[in-house]
Amino acid sequence: MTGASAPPGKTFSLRGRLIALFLLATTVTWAAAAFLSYVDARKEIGEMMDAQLAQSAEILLAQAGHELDDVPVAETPAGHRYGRKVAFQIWDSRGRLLLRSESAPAERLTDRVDGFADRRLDGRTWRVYSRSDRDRKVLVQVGERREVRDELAAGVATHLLYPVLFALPVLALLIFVAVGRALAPLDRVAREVERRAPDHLLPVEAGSAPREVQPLLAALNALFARVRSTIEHERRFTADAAHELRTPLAAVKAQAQVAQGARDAALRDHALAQVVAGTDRATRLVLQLLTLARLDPPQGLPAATDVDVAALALAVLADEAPRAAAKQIDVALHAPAPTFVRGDPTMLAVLLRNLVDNALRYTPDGGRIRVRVTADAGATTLEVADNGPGIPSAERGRVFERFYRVTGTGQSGSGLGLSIVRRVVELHGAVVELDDGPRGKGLTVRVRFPAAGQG
Amino acid sequence: MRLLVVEDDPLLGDGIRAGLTQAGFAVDWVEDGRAAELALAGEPYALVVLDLGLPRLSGLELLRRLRAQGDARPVLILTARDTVADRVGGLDAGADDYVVKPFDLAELTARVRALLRRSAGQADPVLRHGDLALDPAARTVTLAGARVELAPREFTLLHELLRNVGRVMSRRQLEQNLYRWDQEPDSNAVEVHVHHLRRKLGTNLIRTMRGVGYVIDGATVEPAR
Repeated sequence: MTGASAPPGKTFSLRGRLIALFLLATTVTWAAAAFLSYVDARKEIGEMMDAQLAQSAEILLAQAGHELDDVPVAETPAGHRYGRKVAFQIWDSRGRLLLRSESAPAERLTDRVDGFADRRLDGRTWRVYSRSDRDRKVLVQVGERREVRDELAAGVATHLLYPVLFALPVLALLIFVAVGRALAPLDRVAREVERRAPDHLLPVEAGSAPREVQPLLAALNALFARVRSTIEHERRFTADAAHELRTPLAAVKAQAQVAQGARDAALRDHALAQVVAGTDRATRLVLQLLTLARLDPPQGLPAATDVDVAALALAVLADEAPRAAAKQIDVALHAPAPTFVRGDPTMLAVLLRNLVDNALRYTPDGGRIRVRVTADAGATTLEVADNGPGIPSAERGRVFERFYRVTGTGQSGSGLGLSIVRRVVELHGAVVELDDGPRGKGLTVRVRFPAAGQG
Repeated sequence: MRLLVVEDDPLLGDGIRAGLTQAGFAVDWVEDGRAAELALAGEPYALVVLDLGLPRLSGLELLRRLRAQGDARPVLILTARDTVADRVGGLDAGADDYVVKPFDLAELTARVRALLRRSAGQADPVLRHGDLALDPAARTVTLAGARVELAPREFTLLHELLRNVGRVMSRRQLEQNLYRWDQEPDSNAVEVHVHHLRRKLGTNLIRTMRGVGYVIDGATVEPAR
């Protein structure tokens, strides 16, 4: 894995880790095998040498029986390389030393007169076998320095370890290559992802990838799909927004040029008024777009509190009172008690303002607007009803789409108001529905919030 | 000359109508595709300025229907979509020209004039008849090189007759080209305008065919330029 861009110290290499683990496992296994061989060899060597000691003692005793009767104390030279480490002593029944090897100490090897014994003499450990003849006239003691056995056993174990020392580097190399080959598909996937342009979000081909990598690829592809749809959504929204802004801009420009070319004052004044109206409309469109963009947090409500919708409705209606008065629209609020909804007060204000704004915009002069906030079994219902032109039932499903406008209203809205309403409603787990106005004329927008603490 | 503007945006539709009216056209404005279809079936529009994003019946669909009916009237598309694919789609559906919002009113009117000229098979932007010359862009008329001042309706009437040299135009046809549908002309308005034109340009130019209409005879046409 070429984690070149990853911060150092926090990452580890899968390949390095695999190689280290393989080598460690191999070494431990081999060391354990060598140790067991050493233990086993020591036991075998011990038994073999004990048998040799006993045999040597038998031979010496057999000879001593008829040859050494009156031999004065004598020493026999030691020739073999282990000669210094093997020794014998022959004693008579009165405790006199009859014969000893050069390597043997003058002191008696052991006090035992029969069988095996371990004895420390002059800082060395001896393994001694003692044997007397039948009438106990002669005692033969054959000893051997203990270290001989240890050396032999260690030798066996060491010989077993030599190949390991040669094999380990070779093994390391082989493991390195094998791990590299095993991880190659991972590298391929990594390279493919790395090579991608930021906007190339098609799924990574998972066909040839190993089973272990499939979940990662699946997760990656799911992420790609999500990001792709988000980007697609954003792109469409931006394109729509740009498209929607072109028309008011074109209108402003056309009207301004009409004013420039107008020879009579009435036409010029009309065109200039239209320029102002067009600018207002473009401004409103931009504000609505910003509102909608802000209402797009990826998850839930940032700051949910208990909001009194009744109080909020009163505040919004108070703000809009001058507009209502200018159109002589009769506005009434029916909100008998504080009614709390779990949500974001700013967003809920945006929701109410859009509903009231729509009603004021489309209700003709002298019309009526009714706002009701009611609670029933914990669930809150907000209704904004007017006696304006209403929305034909065939179009009610579409008016929540961005930039959808109902025609023939004589009004040029941004086409975003109800999209904003729907977004706020969604974020609050509420539902919105459109209905006829009171007495079958106009429009009623009804928002039902779930009971507080439930949503 | 009568034009139809199909634009659903009230401010823009109003602006285009005002702008084209200033350029001397009689302009009707409808706000959706259905209304445009009805208007086109009933009135002799010389050209259609068509927005693509229309309610009820989209501009492209309206255009396809027109062309399927064999209606060859020039159509200038107005749109906010400016990708190549959009432009190609619009032109392939039968549009004659394409203007992307926001546009310049002067450019729009120039393109409208160019389309009208082309649809009449006319190469020279200035209409000539003998020593009479009419420049639609400058809205000027000269007779033997001398400038003749005409009222807007007189200019439009002369323009209409010159565009149809040799063809008899009925009073009704001329009225339809002179007035939008919200303007009801006086019953003798055409006669009055013709009278004024004869006074300013000579009595022989426009011939009256009793009970039929008016015509500028082609026989006296000299080779252009």
